[in-house]
Amino acid sequence: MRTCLLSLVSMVGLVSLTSMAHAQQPVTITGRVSSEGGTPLPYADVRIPSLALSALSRDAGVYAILVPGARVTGQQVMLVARLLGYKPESVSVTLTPGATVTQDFTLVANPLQLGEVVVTGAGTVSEAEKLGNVRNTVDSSQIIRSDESNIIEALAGKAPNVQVTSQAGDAGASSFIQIRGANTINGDGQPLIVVDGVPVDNSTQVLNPTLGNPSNNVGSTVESNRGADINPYDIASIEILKGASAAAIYGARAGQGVILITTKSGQAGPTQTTFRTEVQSNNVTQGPALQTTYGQGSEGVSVTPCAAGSGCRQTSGSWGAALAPGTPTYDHFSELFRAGFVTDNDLTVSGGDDRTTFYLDGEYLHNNGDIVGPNNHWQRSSVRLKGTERVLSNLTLGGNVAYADTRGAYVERGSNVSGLLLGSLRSPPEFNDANYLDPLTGTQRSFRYPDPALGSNVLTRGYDNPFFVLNDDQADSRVGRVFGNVNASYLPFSWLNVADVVGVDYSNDERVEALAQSSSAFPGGQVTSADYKHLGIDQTLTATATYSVSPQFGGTLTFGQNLSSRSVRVLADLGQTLIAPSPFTLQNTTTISLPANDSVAFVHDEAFFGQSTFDLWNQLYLTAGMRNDGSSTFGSANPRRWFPKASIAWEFTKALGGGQGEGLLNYGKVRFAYGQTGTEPLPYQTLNVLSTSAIPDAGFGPFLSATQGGLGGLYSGNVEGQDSLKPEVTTEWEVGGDFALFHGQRVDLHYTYYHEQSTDVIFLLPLPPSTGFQYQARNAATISNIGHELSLNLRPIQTASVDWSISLSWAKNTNTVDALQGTSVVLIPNAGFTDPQGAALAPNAMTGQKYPLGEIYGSDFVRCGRGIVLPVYGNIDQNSGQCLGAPAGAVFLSDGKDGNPAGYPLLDNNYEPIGNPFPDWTGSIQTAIRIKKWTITGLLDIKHGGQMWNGTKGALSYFGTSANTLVRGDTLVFGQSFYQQFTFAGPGVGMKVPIDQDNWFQGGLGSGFTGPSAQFIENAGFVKLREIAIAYSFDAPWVKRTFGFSAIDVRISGRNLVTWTSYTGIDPESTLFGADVQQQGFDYFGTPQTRSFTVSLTLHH
Amino acid sequence: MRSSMRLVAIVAVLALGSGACSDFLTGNGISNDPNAPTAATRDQRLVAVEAAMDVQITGDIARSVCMFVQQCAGTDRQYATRAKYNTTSSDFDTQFTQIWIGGGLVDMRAIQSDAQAAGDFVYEGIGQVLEVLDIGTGADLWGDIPYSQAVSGAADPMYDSQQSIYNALLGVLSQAITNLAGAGSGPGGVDLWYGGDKTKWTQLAHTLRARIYLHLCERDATNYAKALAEAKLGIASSANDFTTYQSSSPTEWNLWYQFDVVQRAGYIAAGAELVDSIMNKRNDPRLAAYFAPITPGVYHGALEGQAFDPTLMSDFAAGRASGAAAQSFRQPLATWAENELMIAEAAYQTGDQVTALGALNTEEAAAGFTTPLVGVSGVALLDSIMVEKYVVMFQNIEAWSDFKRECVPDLAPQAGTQVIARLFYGLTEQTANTNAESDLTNAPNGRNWNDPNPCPGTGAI
Repeated sequence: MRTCLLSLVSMVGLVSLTSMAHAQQPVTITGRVSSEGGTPLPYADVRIPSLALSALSRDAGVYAILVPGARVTGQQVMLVARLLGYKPESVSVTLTPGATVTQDFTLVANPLQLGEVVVTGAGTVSEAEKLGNVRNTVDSSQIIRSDESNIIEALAGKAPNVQVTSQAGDAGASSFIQIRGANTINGDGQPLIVVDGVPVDNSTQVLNPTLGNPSNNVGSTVESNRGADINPYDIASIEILKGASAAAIYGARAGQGVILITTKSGQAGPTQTTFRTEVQSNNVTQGPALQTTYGQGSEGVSVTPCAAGSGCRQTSGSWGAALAPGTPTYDHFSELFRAGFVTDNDLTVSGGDDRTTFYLDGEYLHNNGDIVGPNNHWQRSSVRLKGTERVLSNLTLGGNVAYADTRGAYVERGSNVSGLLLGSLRSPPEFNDANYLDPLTGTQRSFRYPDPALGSNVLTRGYDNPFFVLNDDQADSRVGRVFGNVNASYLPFSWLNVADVVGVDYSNDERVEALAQSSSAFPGGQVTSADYKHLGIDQTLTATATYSVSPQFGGTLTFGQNLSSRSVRVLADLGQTLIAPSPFTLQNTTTISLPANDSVAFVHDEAFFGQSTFDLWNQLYLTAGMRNDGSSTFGSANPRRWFPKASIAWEFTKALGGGQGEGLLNYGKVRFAYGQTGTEPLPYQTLNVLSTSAIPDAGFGPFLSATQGGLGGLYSGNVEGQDSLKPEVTTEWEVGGDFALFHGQRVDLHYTYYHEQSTDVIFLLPLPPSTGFQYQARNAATISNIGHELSLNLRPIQTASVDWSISLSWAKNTNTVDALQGTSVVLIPNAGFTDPQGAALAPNAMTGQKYPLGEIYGSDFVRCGRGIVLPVYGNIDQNSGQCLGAPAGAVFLSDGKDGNPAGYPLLDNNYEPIGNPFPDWTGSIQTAIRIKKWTITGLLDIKHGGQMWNGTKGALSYFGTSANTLVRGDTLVFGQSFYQQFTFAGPGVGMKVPIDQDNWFQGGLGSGFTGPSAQFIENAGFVKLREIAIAYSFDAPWVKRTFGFSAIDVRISGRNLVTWTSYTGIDPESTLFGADVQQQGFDYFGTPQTRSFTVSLTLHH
Repeated sequence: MRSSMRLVAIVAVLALGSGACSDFLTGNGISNDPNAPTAATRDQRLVAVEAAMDVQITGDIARSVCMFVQQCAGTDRQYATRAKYNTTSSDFDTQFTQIWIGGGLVDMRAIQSDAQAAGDFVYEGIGQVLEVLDIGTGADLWGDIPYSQAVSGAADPMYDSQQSIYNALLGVLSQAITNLAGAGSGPGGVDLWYGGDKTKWTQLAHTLRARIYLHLCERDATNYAKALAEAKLGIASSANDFTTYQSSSPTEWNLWYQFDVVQRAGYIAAGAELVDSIMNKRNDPRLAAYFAPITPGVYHGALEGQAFDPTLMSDFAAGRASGAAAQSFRQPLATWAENELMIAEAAYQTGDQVTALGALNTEEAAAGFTTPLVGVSGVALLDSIMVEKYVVMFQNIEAWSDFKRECVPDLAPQAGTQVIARLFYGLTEQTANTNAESDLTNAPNGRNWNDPNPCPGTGAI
């Protein structure tokens, strides 16, 4: 890598600096930028291109440019004002030494952003009207309005078919983003994140699952995605490259789309200072319904209270007698949560002159978490310094460095006997978890071990008391991260631009995850100490030639090269059995044991690319490009791969001759784009290796190390090497149009249809274990994503005092697994439990039905239509009188002749596709109303359909604490007075059967432990009031006189205030897994989401 | 001219910048895995194979069998229903897979070929006994499984009949016995089970041959005589007992301890059949070693599926240093006591009731019974032998084969009309192997070839 970069650095170094001249008699140009309706426009860029001087307008629309005297010769210069969403306007002004020029601008709305420069990736740019693919851009004000500290989460509801899901409301929890559906099986499915031309790490590291329960994907704590290290205030704009045609320039790394982030830069002109402070409070949204009628016990008999200090163990069930009137009960969900407060302070200083610009930002954010107790908080301290220097008239150098210190403390959750909600929601209603320490022994008491014996501090409690979990366990992450780049832009000729950017991204994440003594997951106490180091170095060199043969024909030609080196180093140790109760250090454990994790993964990529554009008659725009990728992850038999793209855009209203801005159809463009992108294989799947991992005892947790008695043990790895691996390829074409209607483009409409097919998708093909291997990586799956995206923006009122805009968007994506070669089921790595789990399922061989990637796959009732053969009944679909006349999917009820209980459903011995986590469609309604200095904004987010496995309810049905167990003791009929959501068939239909602990919830199929998962699949669609805010700007002269600031903005906002859903668990917008696992639709004792209120104050100077 | 020179210079620099790194995509740590070894010695494989075997034989299968023969009772969640035969093809997937993959047959074969190449016949013989333990367990539990084409490069190994596997394994054991008498220094102390002791391995090989013959008796009673002959050459003293390796280190803890104390307290408890119906009535001296008392001296078992309640039922004697399921307790896999009772059973079945009673009394005396049985004969003698063996084989998966063969004790089916008699095939092998035999032809709760006759199953004692 070093040798590869050196030559580039030396190229930059070839250029010498020249000294600057100085003189007197400056000129000030000042004025106001406003819209046609008279609205003052802040953040407009006002610029003198010939002198490379610029300034931004303030909140009142006022700008000021100071031209140094040395450059004032009484000349005429062009002054240009630009603002996203408006047409740029130019005027000529004369610079008279010592004079003050006043120049106001009135900008005409340009909702289609025609003429705007668009960053298109890998150093290339275009203009909005020339794009052959749909454009989705998110500007800084939208990001700030979201009130999210995580830049990924801030994209929720901002673009069609860009789905964002936060893992939980815990401070620092990761956010998952998916663009136009899932198309890869092995990886995390996250798009490539590029900041100022350099790809950056957005991984979510979960403590290695081999380090023992509960450190794994379904248990453990939430984790942050590394995108959380980016300060949202630093961001100027985000371009989301959704389709393969847009993202092809990133080749084998762009299969999941690309998010291009541009950070803010300084502007030439007076130094600007902005201070922003924000206070936010967070409260949980919704929790599961629990019963408070019946107490701890079994068979309707309450438990006998234990004697103090007896160490007696109690039943885990709440199947006791009805509680006596007046017995105090506890809200085992709400008692664990509080209002979490976030404070965020951000100071920005930026400015520059004709040669130099700078931007400096510092932020401190602290979130004290919404879970009660000291061990739940998250904070980020970050600084960014960005500058440019025009060292020669044709050479500009730049640098950009950010440092972030991100640290969090998290609480155990999920499928984890030391998890927060697992213990609390299983607690009987009358047990007071808040008294979590036994007054006699000072050790943990839980509902299953309420009166601990002396010396029991290293014995399991069955499930941990949630207050013990949130007070006594510890899970910390401390991240130090530095990332940035140096760049050079060189114009050796007026038609040639050579640009180079070298970026580095280094982070170190120190983790300590500790379970205190008496933790149920490890009663002796356990300390996991881990260190994750990530290093990325990336270099992109591009040369772009621009030519214009005639006014009718011009274009660009770009060649580029990219080198990328990335490594992840993990060093983790597990210490078990604490000596003293604290501290949580490895030295304080009796056994620092294998298996520890000591691993490193390197990936090297090398790519060449070229792109050519042709602009014809100022209305027809053609683009074609190719990228060639090589990667260390490809098998030796397939070392390189080409990724082509092509697009065409035609502004047909120009051909029709209609003058722009007139008539009903004001503007119209149609576009078509085609492209390919890829997804790299995971590293090191090409050779056979040996393993030292522990040997697990099924799924229950016990294991033996491969090394025993101090003797090293090795055994054959379960993955057979594959030397012909190649990247997954996503081929997509999209077609669409952009239209504007009425004068001033009051209405604009955008529609896109895309057809995407991913082939050679890699999965670990299950081999018959009798071959000696379990898996081999194969390029063997085909996945499709086909969809529509529609957005409509209306601006019905635009006057000097009132602005009103409203935007509607609607998107649909249909995801299917079209083929799996060699198998019919592929389990998505780390995506679930033994039952259910996320899977890729081949199309049904009999019906041809296709399933989405990430279908929930698990146990089900015996149902009609599957050709199930039962003892006595035979094939229930063939023998008359069984499923006859019943719809496929009807649940079969036995009449007892087969030895099974009469009138109840039966368990299907095979796993079935039981739930689709993807929505039917998504949509949003956004509006902004400005009345004088008041601004009111709102965003309604809609997810229609999509299913979730309510595993929490399934488990609580076993323990008798969920509200659905209140029917206990009733005699009911399936399909009539019970389980009305299903259709039933078979000889047992209509029989009245007892529904109680023995016959259904514990002894029958009525719980998640004893019965099928399918009965707990629920619709998880929702409508959310995502954002609502009111803001006022104080910018009258008295503000400056009194406070010394030119403007003060005050904003009060709410996020996720209301959720309308039929889902009965925690917030349907959550996921058990962090952003490292793409599977959605699992709810199993995860922590809930929050709603928030925010008050912010911004001071401009 | 000047500008074209400049262009040439720029092109040259660009070419340089993008050229000089031909080894960028390959090399050590870049294109091959820097984290895992690519070669192993037979010693390293043996350590891992023994650990994997310990997990396989004393883990989830052993707990499940313990519930199926009602020595244990499933008292919570998955075990409460599994005890009532509610299982699916994913329940034993890991274990079915483990027969062949790393730590299983693939590494046993690697040990054998490595030892053969080095001329160490003793080591090769040990590798062969391991193979029989591994494949034999598979055939006992699942019946027909892949063997002859397994781990041989075949993409979809065919399933062999249980009968042909047992016959093949008898042959492998004969070879092993020959090899163990041959040249070579063997693994020595690397063998954590037997310390490389040739005599012990040879006796184990004979005991395993005796087991296989017994497994064939329901099809052909002449195998009792063969079993008797082999058992007489089998494990000759309890000092030669074949046990797992465990220690007080958490990564070497007894699997029963890990499950019952550390991971899943309350899932499994003492079975009423073993404790109340048998051991309490006999005032069995092993009660304290097997179980924790409810109150001093008082032991009770649970019914299958009954919710765990420590005031009503005994847990395992897990908290003790020496009790079954204690932290470093070495789980017996094949013992002198079992061998002695095989002699008793086989002698009885071949008509030699004197030898049978003698062997039973020898074993019972060693177990702590002070009064020998006198004058017991006929079916009562067989019952006494098999009940004693049922107690001896606590937590040992061989207890299932014993029950299925002799139908003692008289267990009540927990669902349907028969005691569960085989395991579902694992899902992974079933879906990946195009030659997989279906469970349907064998029917859920079906029977293996060697066990054609269900036990009467009245539940009476």
